Amino acid sequence: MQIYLPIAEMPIDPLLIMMMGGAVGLLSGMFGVGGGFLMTPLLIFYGIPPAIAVGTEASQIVGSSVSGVTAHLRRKSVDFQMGWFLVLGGGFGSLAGVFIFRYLRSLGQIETIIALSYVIFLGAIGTLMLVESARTIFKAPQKSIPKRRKRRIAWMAALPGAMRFRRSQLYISPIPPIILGFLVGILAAIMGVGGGFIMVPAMIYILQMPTNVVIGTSLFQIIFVTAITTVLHAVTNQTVDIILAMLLLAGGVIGAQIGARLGVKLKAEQLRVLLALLVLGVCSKLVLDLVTPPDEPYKIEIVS
Amino acid sequence: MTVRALMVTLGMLCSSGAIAEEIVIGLTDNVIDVDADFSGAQIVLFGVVEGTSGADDATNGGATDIISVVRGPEQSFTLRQITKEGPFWIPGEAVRIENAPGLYLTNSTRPLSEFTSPELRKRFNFGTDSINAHAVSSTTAAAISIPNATSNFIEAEKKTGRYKDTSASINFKKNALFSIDIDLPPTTSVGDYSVEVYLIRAGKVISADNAALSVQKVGLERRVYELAHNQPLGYGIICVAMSLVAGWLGSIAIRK
Repeated sequence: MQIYLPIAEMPIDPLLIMMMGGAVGLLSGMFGVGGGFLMTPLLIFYGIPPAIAVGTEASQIVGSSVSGVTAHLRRKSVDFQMGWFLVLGGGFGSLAGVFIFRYLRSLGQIETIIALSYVIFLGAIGTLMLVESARTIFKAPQKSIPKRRKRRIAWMAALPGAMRFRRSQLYISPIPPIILGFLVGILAAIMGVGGGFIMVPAMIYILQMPTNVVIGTSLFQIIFVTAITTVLHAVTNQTVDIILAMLLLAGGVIGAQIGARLGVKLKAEQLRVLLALLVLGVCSKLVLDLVTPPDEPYKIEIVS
Repeated sequence: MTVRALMVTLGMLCSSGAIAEEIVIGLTDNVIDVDADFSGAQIVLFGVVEGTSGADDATNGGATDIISVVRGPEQSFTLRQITKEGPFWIPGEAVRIENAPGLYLTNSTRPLSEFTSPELRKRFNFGTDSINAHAVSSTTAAAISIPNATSNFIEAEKKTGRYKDTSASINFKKNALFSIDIDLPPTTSVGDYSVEVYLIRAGKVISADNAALSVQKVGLERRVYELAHNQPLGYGIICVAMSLVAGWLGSIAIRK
């Protein structure tokens, strides 16, 4: 069976697309990752034009993040105050990202930049995850690692407008979260990701937020930033395919449900190795595509 | 109009006994709908050669050849050569190709070079190699990088299936009736197309006829496309709203 996508203007196999959404959803459910960083390259491998893959993924991530955030809302593990400052920065970052995207697209270089960004980020994250889990697996469990005392983050409190973030038990200026939100917003708009894989470590290591509020707050801000990104892509580039987004969400919701149950039963460390290998696999395929001479030596685009 | 009705009409035209040879064509469908299950389309062109008893009627001075030309809406394109920069293959500077057809398909009784002269092909734009397209370089660097931009563009479009010459693809039936199956690729874009059929004998065009073909999105495909292009802000907001609802429904399902 085939379905013709109205915006991508190509026929696709809806079952295969739903299965892709399901597989990535499964991983999201098991590992608590957003999945945009796997879904966008998969869509590109399928043959969806990269610009449409990115715009559509933004829309899909809105849906999958809403699914994810509800559990955190019940547990009250969302720092709304921090979240809104991240959204403020993220909104402007997304705006900047969409304009960079539009500019690169007019130069005909957007495909290359998307692929290169993915190679860099997937390569770095895959390697880090692999090293981290190899260390945990091969090292004997250590006798209680002395807990690093939280350093006072004086420089962030010294910046103007310092305030108390009660849920995160921090006293810092809102400027660092705004800047962090801005940078992740740019990435979100160019790569078609939520940016949780950057946001979460940055919240822990830079902002020094307690780990129990990090995921919920990250998901909260991703909903708004990807919503803004979706609208901006729709307005400036007309690259959001709603039919494709709905197919991916349908598969993703089912996958996430199964994944969340599987994740509980399976051993976390071995799973993390698998995810790391998968991330590196996708990264290698992107590198391979970049260094292999293309079948078609010319690239044609319709000027609209 | 049904196929049978078309055949009957054409058969009557054929038997009316005109002396001058004339070609008359009709399409089974003048409108191609692009809907959810569109994956390319086949149109059937029916025609008749009046004033002759067959396609290769020897009494009329040698073989008669037929060529059909389907030409899509004219568009502007950019062409970039993918070149090696360091370890990576990336697209270079663009050359603009102006006024090239979005689709160009010919069907003929024989390979074009066997019955048409280069002059005739050029004059009537017969065959993919005679497509009229103008290359405009935005920079001198681009002009140098792609010297034969137009022919490279045509070669690249041939590989996508949007430009194609097919020979020996005309089916002759009784009484100088013929039909041509024309395959439109899945990447056919919406717009108005022209279908022209020429009767050629001894290197000259004896008669020609044409028909209009329109490719249009219908149903949901059309509504989504028009909304996305005419009301992009509204469309973006609808996309977000639908994703929010889908995600929320998903969270309810997960909770159970």
